[in-house]
Amino acid sequence: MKYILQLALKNILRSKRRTILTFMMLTFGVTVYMIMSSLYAGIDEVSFDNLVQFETGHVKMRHVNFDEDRPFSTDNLMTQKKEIYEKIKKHNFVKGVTDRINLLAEMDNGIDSMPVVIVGYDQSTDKDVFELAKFISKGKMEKDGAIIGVDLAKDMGLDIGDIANLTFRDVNGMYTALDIPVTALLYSGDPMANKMKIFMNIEIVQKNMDTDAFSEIAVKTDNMYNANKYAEILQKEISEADVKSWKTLSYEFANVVSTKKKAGNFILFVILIIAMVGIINTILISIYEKRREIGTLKAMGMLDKEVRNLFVAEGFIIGFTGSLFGLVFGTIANLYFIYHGLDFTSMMDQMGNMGASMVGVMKSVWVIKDYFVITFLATAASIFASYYPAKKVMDMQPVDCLRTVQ
Amino acid sequence: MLLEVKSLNKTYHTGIVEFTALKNINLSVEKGEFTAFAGPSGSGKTTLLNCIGCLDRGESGSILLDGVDLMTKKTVELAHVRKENFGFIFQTYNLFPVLTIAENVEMPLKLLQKESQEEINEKVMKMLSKVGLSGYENRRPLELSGGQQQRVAVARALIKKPKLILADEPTANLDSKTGESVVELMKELNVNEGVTFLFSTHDSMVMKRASKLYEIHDGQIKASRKK
Repeated sequence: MKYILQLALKNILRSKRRTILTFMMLTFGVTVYMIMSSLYAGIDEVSFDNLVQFETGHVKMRHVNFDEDRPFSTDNLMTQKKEIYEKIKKHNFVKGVTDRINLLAEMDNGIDSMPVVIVGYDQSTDKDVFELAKFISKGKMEKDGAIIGVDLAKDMGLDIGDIANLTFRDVNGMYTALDIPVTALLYSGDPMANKMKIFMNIEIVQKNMDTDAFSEIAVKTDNMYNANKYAEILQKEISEADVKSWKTLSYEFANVVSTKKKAGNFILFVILIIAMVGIINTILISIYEKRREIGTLKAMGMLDKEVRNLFVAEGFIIGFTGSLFGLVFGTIANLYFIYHGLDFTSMMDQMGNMGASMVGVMKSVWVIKDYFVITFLATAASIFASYYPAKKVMDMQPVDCLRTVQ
Repeated sequence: MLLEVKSLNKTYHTGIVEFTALKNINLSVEKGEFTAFAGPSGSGKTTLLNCIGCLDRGESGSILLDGVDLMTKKTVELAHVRKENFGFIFQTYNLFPVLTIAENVEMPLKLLQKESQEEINEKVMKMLSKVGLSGYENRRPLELSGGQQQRVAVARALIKKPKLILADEPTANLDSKTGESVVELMKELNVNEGVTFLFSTHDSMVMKRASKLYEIHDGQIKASRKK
């Protein structure tokens, strides 16, 4: 086998231009896949982090009869804060607990009005679970001020220091008006939050709502990847709430991730098909050109299967080295994308965030699995592609090969 | 008796057209003989050589090598027969241009997988010396003249010491002087080392050197003579 590999290598080097073209096709394909896969993985990782840090926490609890179709209904509000907090905090895996209240309101600037979502957050405990400060693009969080989404501020012509005029119904159904100064602008990975949300002190919201109830409790645990298990534990003890992990709550986003992965796999499939066609072509031409040499090898007693293996080995060498070079180039490209990232801010402003929950610069992450999967798939595809033309060699009679005029 | 061909027939079928290439061929080759098939182009010399060398199959009759009938062998077995017993010299040399001269010559031994690389290297050097190509081992075939390339082919055919060397018009692509030197080389190896040669030719100079000559016309042996 060693001798066959040596012969195959010499054969490959003989038609350098053709080999390099096939090789480059595979290398380019693998490089592109590496870059895209790492970028997707980076976007997904940051997106999930953002979702958890901004919206869901590791575990979220809502009213046991929470109505998904009417999420801002006052029927969804929870009480018994003290009892629930006691049940949660007794667990060692709990690292932070906070509560928020969400309600629908109308914002008015004297010319236009827009529906908005007010999020009341506990300024003393929110940072134990969420990282709201991370998403502040301008200004700062103040006790008596509001943080509003950048797009909402733009649409309503508001900036830091301006007063936001809000109207909403309290728990008794009475209209309430609230004027609150804008102290910060929010730029999150969630375009709806940028367009519709206003964050403010939960005490202000509860006072104007005439209630001390809240919409949800969010929990931070010692390990976000154990959230499902922790949610189950908490659910068993807290019957008055519906407990869900961030994984369950982000299922829609997870579906987007899954679709993107499928798209990535499809790209890999297309790359492999193109590479396979290239390899089939290369091996077929190689066989055609070397008919007389094939005849000579057979005359010297090389077995049909050994001649076949010689051409399969050519495909293997092209596939294996092509994918290795692709991995090297992909790694070099990824070094840039991992440490510097790609700034998609202007594109996102115009096109939205394309299913990702992140902002501005997208950074890739290393996907170690790709190194093994791509090498294996590209090499296997190359062997598979060269097998068919190589098999034709087996059926060729030595005398027919030797008779070839070249 | 090294080789015996009995009542060998071979017909080519192309669509509805049939062409009889070999008709009732009977011949024998003793060990150490320098046998030639002579005849005009299309007479069946190469076909006969190919059938004897297991590169092609006859339709009926038998080809006995050391008493073993090659006509009954399967394709894989025939590959082993070629590997173990035959050396081939072709009209167009059929060297591998990507390999060096030494790599071309060592190839039959590599395929046999019986010797270490050191032993192979030693044999290659000796063989190149025998064919007058010492110092050429690292060159490529295309850097050599036609005569030198044919000498490499002779060395390649001889390196594994086969029972029989089959040479298909070995001088046809060479000028008369170069052709003569190649035939001289083969004759020397035949006389000095007892190598058995069987070749096809229509070169009168080659025919003169043959110890046994079969004249073939229209796929039939018309005459044979032994010196």
